[in-house]
Amino acid sequence: MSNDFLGFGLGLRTDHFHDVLETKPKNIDWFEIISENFMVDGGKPKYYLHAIREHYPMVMHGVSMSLGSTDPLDMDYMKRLKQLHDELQPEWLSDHLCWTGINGINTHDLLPVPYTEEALDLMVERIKQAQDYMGRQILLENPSSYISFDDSAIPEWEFLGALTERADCHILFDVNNVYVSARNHGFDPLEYIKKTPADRVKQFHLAGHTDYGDYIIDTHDHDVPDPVWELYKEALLHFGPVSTMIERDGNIPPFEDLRGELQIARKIANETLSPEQLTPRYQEAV
Amino acid sequence: MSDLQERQQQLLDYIMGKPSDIHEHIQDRGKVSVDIQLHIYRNAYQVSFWETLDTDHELLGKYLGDDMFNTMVRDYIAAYPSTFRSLRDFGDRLPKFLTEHETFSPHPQIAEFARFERELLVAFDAMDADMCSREDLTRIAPEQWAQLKVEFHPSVRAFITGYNVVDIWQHLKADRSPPDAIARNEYWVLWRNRDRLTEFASLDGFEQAMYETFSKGYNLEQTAEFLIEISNSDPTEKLLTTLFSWLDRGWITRLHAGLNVVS
Repeated sequence: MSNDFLGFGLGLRTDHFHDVLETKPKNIDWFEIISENFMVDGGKPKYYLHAIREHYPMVMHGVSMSLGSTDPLDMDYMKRLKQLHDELQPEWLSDHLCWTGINGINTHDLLPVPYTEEALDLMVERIKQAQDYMGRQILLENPSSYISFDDSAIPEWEFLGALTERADCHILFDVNNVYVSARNHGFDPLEYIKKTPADRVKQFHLAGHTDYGDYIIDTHDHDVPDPVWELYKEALLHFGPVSTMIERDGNIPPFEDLRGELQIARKIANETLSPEQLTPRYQEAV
Repeated sequence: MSDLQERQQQLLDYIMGKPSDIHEHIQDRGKVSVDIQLHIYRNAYQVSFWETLDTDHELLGKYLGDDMFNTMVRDYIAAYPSTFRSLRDFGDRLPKFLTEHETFSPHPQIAEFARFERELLVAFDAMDADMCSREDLTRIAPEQWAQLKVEFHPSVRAFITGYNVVDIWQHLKADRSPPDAIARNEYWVLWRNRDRLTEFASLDGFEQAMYETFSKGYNLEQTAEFLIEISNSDPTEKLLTTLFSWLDRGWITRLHAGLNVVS
């Protein structure tokens, strides 16, 4: 069996480009990039991207494939994504269980899909099409959401499980998103974890959110809070060693602080799993 | 239209502030009203575009002031919803919008200001390419210089404007009060330098003519002939000095002299 465990990573943000190259920290095993941020012809961001890629494994995370949309797949976008993919040779690439727009309009937001058989059939076909074009399996991230459609007849975890089985793709399991949606929609996050097929989960996201009491918004602008760390531990118990990273998109702290936060994830994993389970692929190879 | 298409159209209409029946299809969770649940999406739609334009056009925001900038963003989102996959491109139609909007169009320097900032962004992430140096030029045999053609770096672009918007921009960048807008023809070239930072320089009539002639694919001899016509003097020394300064700045990605190409 191949080892997909990359260890513990961070989302690569422009604020930290210089720090990463200056310090090349050994306690960060890999980086995730937002694909769209590097779909440019050249310049400083691309220079840093390639310079950092020389030292770290990377994965690509996209926000615009719009796999749940009733519009045709945007092949111009797919072409640009493939170009970046071929340039960067990432470990894998991911997008979301969502749609971002229709009739050519893009909201640039990750909008929820009604969990119906119609949406399931549509998304299965579109994921297959995307995977055929990219020439590899993709990872699909569970969304955070603030509304539920009346006609959603399938629990999200069942929809995600069925989708990944039928389309033969993997799951990017966002622990914070499960927590956010569980609070917003009143479901049990542990049930979500237990009913998600473990053999499909290839990456974890951890992040912070903004808690308004009656509802939570997935803002990625705070540290990972305790309830999300607790859920992360449960996720490790159920899914085993899964490549883990922290997303931070707002109120971005100094690089050193994020590195410190990542070590909390490493510590929880060390306390939950065995050292053999937590040997990253690239250390194995060494 | 399928149920899914209909639901997506209804939600999109709501998010964009259009009449919509989406409320009827959202579960009422009791403690948080459907209005609030839906409003999270409408708000996120506005905020993400506002943040994008605020980042890309920070100094335009300073020039306009908060109220005018907010009006601009609100009306731009409504007039030109994003059809792009990357937010990086969202503001591409802002200069055009500013020439059409009833509040902004009477002040054409505002659209020109936005166009200048868009050009800076284009230069910032234009395609990478080699940059020739003075040494590369000296490697070309003197007898081939007459046939010399230059190929500009992909980031190099002219910004031709009828207003003193670059001066206004520079004042705002330096936290100084901007001068009044003046109708004045100016010719600037923007580029990304060897440190990958964006720069710009004003061109006088001679350098402008030289830049345009080389841009059109004419060789050194043809360019010199043209410069003699407009300057009524021997342009050789100034032409070479200018060419060297372009090479120092990293404007030139290839030097072609007959079959000899230096890059």
